[in-house]
Amino acid sequence: MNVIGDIIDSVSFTAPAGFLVSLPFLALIGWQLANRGGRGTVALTGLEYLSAHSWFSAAPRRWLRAGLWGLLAAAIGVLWAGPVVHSDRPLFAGANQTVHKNFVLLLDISRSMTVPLGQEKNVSLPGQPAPPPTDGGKDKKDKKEKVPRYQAAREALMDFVARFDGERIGLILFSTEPILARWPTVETENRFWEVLEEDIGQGVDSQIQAFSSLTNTNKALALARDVFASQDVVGDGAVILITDAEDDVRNIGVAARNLRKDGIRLYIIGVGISQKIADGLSRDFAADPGFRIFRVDSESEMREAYRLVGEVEELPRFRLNRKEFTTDIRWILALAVMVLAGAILCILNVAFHQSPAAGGSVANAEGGRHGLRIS
Amino acid sequence: MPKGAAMGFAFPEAFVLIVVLPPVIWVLWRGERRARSALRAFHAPAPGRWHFICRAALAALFIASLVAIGARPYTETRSTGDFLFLVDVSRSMNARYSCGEPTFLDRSKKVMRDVIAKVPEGKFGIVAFDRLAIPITQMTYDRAYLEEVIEHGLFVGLSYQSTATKIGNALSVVAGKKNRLPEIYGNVSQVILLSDGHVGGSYQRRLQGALEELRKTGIMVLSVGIGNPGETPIPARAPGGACTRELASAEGKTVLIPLRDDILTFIAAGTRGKYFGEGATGALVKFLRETGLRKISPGVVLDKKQRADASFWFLVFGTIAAFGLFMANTLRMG
Repeated sequence: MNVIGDIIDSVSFTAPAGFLVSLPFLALIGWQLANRGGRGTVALTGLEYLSAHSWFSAAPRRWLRAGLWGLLAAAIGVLWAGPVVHSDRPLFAGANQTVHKNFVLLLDISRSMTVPLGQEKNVSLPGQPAPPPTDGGKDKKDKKEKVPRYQAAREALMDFVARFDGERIGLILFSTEPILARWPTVETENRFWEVLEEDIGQGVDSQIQAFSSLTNTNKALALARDVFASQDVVGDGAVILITDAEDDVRNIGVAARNLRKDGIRLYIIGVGISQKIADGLSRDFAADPGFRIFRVDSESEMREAYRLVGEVEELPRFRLNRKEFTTDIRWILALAVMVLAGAILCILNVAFHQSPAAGGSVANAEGGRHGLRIS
Repeated sequence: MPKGAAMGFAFPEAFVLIVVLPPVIWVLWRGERRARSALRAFHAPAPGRWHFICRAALAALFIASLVAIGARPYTETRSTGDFLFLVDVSRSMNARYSCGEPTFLDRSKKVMRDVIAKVPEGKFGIVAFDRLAIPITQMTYDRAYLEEVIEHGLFVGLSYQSTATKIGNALSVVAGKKNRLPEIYGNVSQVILLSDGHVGGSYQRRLQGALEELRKTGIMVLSVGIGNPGETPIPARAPGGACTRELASAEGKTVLIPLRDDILTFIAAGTRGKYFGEGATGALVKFLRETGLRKISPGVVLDKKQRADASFWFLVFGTIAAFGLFMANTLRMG
């Protein structure tokens, strides 16, 4: 039993009202117990002797039968109620994982994200043409790494989604305002390409390019918090924020603390933000293991940051306390009930025994108090 | 069982257990025979042969039903269709006469739920639009996920630019996605547009390009008009989001939302589609089922979510048989 207890956490029923199906059966049994006799009862006198000397009198036997039929009735009720086992590992093929890690990925699509990685951004107001970016002097030797921040972030984000395949992941794009681009889902095999295929940048004609403007990280974090709240996620969620809005990052304190208050972990991947700001935020949240900030300046650093976030999330500390699988056990219970039903039908069937003394006739019949009863 | 669905068993090995049945029938038969001979010995009326036949049949049905449930029966559709909901989440979808009424968006959600429930073979995706059009779900068979998104993930103000309804952009985005992502949207041939059609200006000219793109990609728009015969106001919202008695206004005038079924009909006709009133969900479902579903070729591996548990009817048969057995047995329990 301990082994079963170790595997099975709990049992629940998908349709508890199904137990009501047992009621007519139980009522029938009750009615029978109250109204003895019926077909097959032969009134005989003089059988009190049998009754009195029977080591197992008729009354308990009646209750035994009622109990067995009652057990069968209860089992039918359980089948109707849809029993489901909750366990920390799949019991059979087809078990559904019901508890997942929850991630919401926040991707900055503001205009500055079109600047190549390793180059300093130039701030421009909406409606004004973005001045050409100035080279910050980094990664000069590796031209391959000079992809726009948005594209690098997108690639790394999609790799991250692939790494956590099967977990529940949502996506928020944000600029001046956030857009909930994908409600958290476990079906992430397309890695949100339906949304992320659209590009931003100079000369790009896409609708998110039109949306791309300034950055408001606080609102994006607040939306992520709302999404978690709608899903009743407390404690097992994480937000991964990727942005290059240095000034905005410095001021995200309130939104970040609100998330942390809900037990939601926050990872910030700051693209091109200064080391000073990264260090400052790290200091502010030094005592909080659920907050990390990574400063990245190249595509490889971006991937490294995502890899680190993935590794942190896979640490025992942040791994789900337990995975939960639900397994429909109606089918296996039906097989057990089938065996039980067969046994009950055999046990409760008429069991006259041939007595040699009776010369092939009937003997050793069950004795009733007032007659011979055939069951 | 949905029309055209095939039944299968996930654990057919369970049928081996049907071997239990002959011994049980034999025990019943032996008991019945002995009971009859005993009663004959006592010159009592014995149950007729039909009694045994009934009991044996009920026992067989009961046990066979349980074995069938144990074999994990399922139904699998042999047809499918990819459908995309294009849902207006612009500010006008907050329109309603009073706070006690459902908003236009709530009414859209009801239509979506009806369609999803009545086309169980369908694979659905949701694109929400105002000025932008964003595919807020993947194409999926997962009804629970779709329901969760409809309930929580679909709201007015999905993007801050929700003050405008850019149906043309939304239709272009859908056509573009189908062109660029054939592995995801390649099978989408019908788009269900849910909107009040509240578009300003000369809509024919604005929509012409998008309709042409849709026609080229082979997408038909089935538009569903959400709204009231007259114009409907938008109750203003308090800072916390609660509905108030105040009505939304712009430039000193109350904003009133008409149902532009002329625009929606124009869009549908422009893609060889059809316009449906909000109350004509039945006709929409019928149309989708007749024109949007296609047969699945044999041998195609289906999504796990295309399977539905089919143990219900076996449970019904088994329970009826069990009740009959109880009647036959307990009536003589003594």
